[in-house]
Amino acid sequence: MNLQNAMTCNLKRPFKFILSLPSWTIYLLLGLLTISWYSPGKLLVGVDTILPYNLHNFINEYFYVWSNKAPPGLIDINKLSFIFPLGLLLKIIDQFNLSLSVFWFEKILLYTLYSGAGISAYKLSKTIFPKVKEVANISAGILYMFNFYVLFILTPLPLPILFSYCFFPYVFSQFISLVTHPNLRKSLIFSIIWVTLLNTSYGTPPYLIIHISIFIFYAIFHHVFINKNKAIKKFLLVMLSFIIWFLLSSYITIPLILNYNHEINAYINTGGTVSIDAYLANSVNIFEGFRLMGYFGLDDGYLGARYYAWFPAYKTNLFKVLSFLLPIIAFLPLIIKKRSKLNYYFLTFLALVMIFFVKGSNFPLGSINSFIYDKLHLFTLFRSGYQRFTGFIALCLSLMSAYSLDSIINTKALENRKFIRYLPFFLINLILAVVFVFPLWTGSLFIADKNGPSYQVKIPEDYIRTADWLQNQQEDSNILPLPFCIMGISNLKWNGFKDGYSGPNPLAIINQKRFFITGSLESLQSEASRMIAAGNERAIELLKLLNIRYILLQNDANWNYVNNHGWWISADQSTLQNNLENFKWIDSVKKIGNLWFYRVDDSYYLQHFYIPKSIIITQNSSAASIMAAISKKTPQESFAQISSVEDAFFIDEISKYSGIKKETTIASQKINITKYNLKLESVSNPFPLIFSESYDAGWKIYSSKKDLETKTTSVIDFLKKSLDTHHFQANGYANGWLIDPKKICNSQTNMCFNNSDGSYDIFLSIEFEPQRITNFSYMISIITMIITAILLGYIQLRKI
Amino acid sequence: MKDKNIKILSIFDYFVTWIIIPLFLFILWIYLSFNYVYHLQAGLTVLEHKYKFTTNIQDLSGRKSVTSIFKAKENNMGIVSIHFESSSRGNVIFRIKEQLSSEWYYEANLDAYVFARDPSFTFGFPPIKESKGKIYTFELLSKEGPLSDYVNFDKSSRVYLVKFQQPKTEITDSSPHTINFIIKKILNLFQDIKFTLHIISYAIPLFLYIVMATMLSGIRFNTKKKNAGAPLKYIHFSRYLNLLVSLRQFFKSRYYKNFKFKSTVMLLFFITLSIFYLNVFINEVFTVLVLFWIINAYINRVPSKISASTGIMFLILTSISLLVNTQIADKASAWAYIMLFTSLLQELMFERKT
Repeated sequence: MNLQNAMTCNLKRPFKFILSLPSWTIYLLLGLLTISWYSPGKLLVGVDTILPYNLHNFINEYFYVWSNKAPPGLIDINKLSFIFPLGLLLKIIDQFNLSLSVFWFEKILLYTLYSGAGISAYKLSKTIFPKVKEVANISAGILYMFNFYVLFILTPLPLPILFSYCFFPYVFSQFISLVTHPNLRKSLIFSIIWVTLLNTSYGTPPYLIIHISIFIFYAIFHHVFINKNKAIKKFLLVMLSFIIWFLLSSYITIPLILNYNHEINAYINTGGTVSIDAYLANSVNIFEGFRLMGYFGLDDGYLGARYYAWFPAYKTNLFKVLSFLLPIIAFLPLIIKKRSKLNYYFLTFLALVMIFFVKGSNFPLGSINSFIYDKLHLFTLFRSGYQRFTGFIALCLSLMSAYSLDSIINTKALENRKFIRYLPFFLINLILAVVFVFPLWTGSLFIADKNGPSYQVKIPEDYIRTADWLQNQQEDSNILPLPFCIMGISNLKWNGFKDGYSGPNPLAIINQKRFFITGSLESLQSEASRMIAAGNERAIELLKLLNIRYILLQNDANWNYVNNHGWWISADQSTLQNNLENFKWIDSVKKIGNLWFYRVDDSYYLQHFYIPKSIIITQNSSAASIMAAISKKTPQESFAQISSVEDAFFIDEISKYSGIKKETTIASQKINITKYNLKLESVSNPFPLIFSESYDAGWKIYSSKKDLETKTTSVIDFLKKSLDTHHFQANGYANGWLIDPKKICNSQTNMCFNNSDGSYDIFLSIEFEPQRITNFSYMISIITMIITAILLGYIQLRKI
Repeated sequence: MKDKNIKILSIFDYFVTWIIIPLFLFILWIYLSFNYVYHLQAGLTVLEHKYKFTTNIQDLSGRKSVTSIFKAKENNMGIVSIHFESSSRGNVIFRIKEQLSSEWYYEANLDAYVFARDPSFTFGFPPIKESKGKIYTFELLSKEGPLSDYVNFDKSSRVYLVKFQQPKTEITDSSPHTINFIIKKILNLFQDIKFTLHIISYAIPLFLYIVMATMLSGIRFNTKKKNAGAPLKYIHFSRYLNLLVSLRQFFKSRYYKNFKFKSTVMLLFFITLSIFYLNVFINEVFTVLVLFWIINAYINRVPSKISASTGIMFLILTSISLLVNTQIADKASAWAYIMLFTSLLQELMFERKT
């Protein structure tokens, strides 16, 4: 028995981890490498993720299932995944007024994730191969930190993928421990660790399916091949841990299940990325799956700038050959005979299954994958096989390689050669973890191509000043940035190309105003942008419907880039400037550096909530149809459009509407992004009420106390019924309700004032119903957490 | 004295064995072959001819072009099909004209992204009725491109196809025309290695059946090891309709003694051959070889180490062949995958037993 094993036997459970501390230290030190990726005062920017600049301003938004950061808004369940632990941590920091700049936050987060990946894989290796040498376990962690897939995922910085990659091994090790030695304590600990480390990754829901599948698959494998004893106990404890996880994660699981259709539709409607073309493009050759490469974007670029500037080195012969070293070493134990290898077989099987998914539509038998993808909609979640599955191949290969290295160290030929026996171990780690992944060590990972946008940016002072100015504008309205990109990306020239930027619109990140940053090519906002570029005065008609108060001309746009790219509505800077200055309905109000703001005149602006003077009914809600129908209106007149595909009875009713007879005012109070209190004064006849946020069946009207400031909401609010009013889609995207004051006030007297002239003052509350359910699910999570903690404490105390 | 173990085949058995089943398999072969031809991109009434590029082919990026000159061998020319290795986005112009003509007969602007979906891309144009014997030139021209390598040609073959759509009325016009077309079409089809391999692979069930039926109905086996000295029995053929059972019986027979090693080596030989000499990915050929390998591994109890070693060898072959030919690397890695999987399954089955 070696020293470590001897010590392990004599130590009590809570202190066992001390033995692993020296190994952990290696990963903690290697994690410091992340600091070398930064330039002073700059943030790392990924296309997928850029952290909010003012953390405390934004953290509250993550607790709501509606997002209006990209008007006209959309349901966004996935952001709930950010709540725990990151959101809660930031909330606590905010509560105690501790200052934490985004620069430090990003550095700490990246360091934790990166060193966590090593510790995580090391822990799994120790659990799955308890008898291998410590150096082999350490090697597993190192190879997991330093492999090609890490190079790929670090640049776009997608948080869900990073969380899954970095912490799944640790959670999996806890699951194996539970299945191997089942008891209640392990079941509870597993559930808590799972929630804490992996729930952030469920911002990309496919990971939830993959993780659970691997857990179940291992449990079956363990039962069939390793140990059949205590099957019922294992089954019950595993089920218990799943149930506890589900309850702890209610804050995301319940909204996800209840809004399953929204999620699937969101994936299906993601700008054409779900088509079979996207699946084909994301499928890689089978040999690429083995060597963790093959993503089409690696060797791609735009306008002479590579997306991955460091990639050409991997096209050289040396790196081509080296890229197969990891899989070759990993599969060697299939030849080298050793004692029980069952867990190794499990990893091999998992790796091969994942390679099959990554290969997608390619040879061999690619038609099976394509058929499944094409016919079953749920599989659209897995359209980007390379991004989703390659991390798991990397995990399997790293652990299998560690096992292989242990086999090599233990070969008879090297048995009595103390130093030489470790030579292959050092050489292989040196080649794979240093030479092969050189961009991690040289810092070139975040150095952009000479003509491309930088991955390290410092947001210019102009933007900070603009954000402050915008914050002082009280109106609850939308802003249209030009040039307009349908995919929510800005491509900007800061300090020439040296600090070029490509990512989400920075203004939409550093302040809380609503910027139109997405929309299909046929959307009203795209059409409005086209009309402005063409100098068409009638663009105002669409701007009115879109509740746009400001137009922002971003003069620092990379015009050459955007005008050649299909995601942008092309326009040149001088034409846009001329047109905006010549339109009669808009005035230049503010110029801060390159950021010029134009404000729509009051007489041409429609509020967030409004009652239209007239209704136009069109065959469909396309921009062309709407423009054709409103040609006879005067620009100042308020109106709303309704498509004739609505319920015939409703169309019949609304056609009788001839405008409100008396001047009506709407007072609104925004409680949060999912709740607005309204006071409608002096209303008597039925009228349509328009709310300029994306139409969603979840938006409902509730009765309200006679007070605009009422904020109180109860966790059981979701049991309350909404008012019986006809909800329809207006203006091609917005919510509309046909309100009948008499009908409402006869049934709900507590929300109405009777005026002397027979009219009513009505108090309403417009709420997004899924938020009410989400509030309830927060409560379930909190209660479960308390019960679990008490139970765990009780078990722990009894043991001691 | 009549041996009870010996059974004589009845007329019905002969009829089923030698007429019904072979006829069924033959019809299946013909049906699958026709079905394949019917679903070919070319269609039944199209004749194809291969041509080699007359100029050097270079990958299209920036403002570059590739041209080629060819002499049309038939009338009604309507398609030029070119094999691409890979492509990303970018605009590509395809145009074609008679060599001496000053104006292009047809010009099309395409997004190169479509080549990624269909590597043998067909550039269609209004058929040229009197094309036979005339010399044509076509050009592929990339517009201003942002990044290099956005249309890569398959440089290993350096060939393209020109297709001639024969009008149905012309084919069925008179019997000499019809016969002439059928002969041309058959010759045309067999020029395509992919077609030939498909036809052969569809014939494999019939071929295997005939071989097995011949061997099993006329040969006496000693089916039980215990009764080595007992009289041999005549196997009733209906027992062999189950392919696995019959294969097992066959492999237990004395004819198979000393054959174990040979079958494994032969299979490896065919697999290696398919990696190096098949220019295309054919799922049917791949599937048949995989099935043979698995059956062979199961029946001969081929040690899992052989499958694993072969898998790792193929993985090494992948890394080396990637330096020269991506297609070979792809096929080698597919086989590495299968071998490793087979080895794993063998090991798991062994673990399950023990």
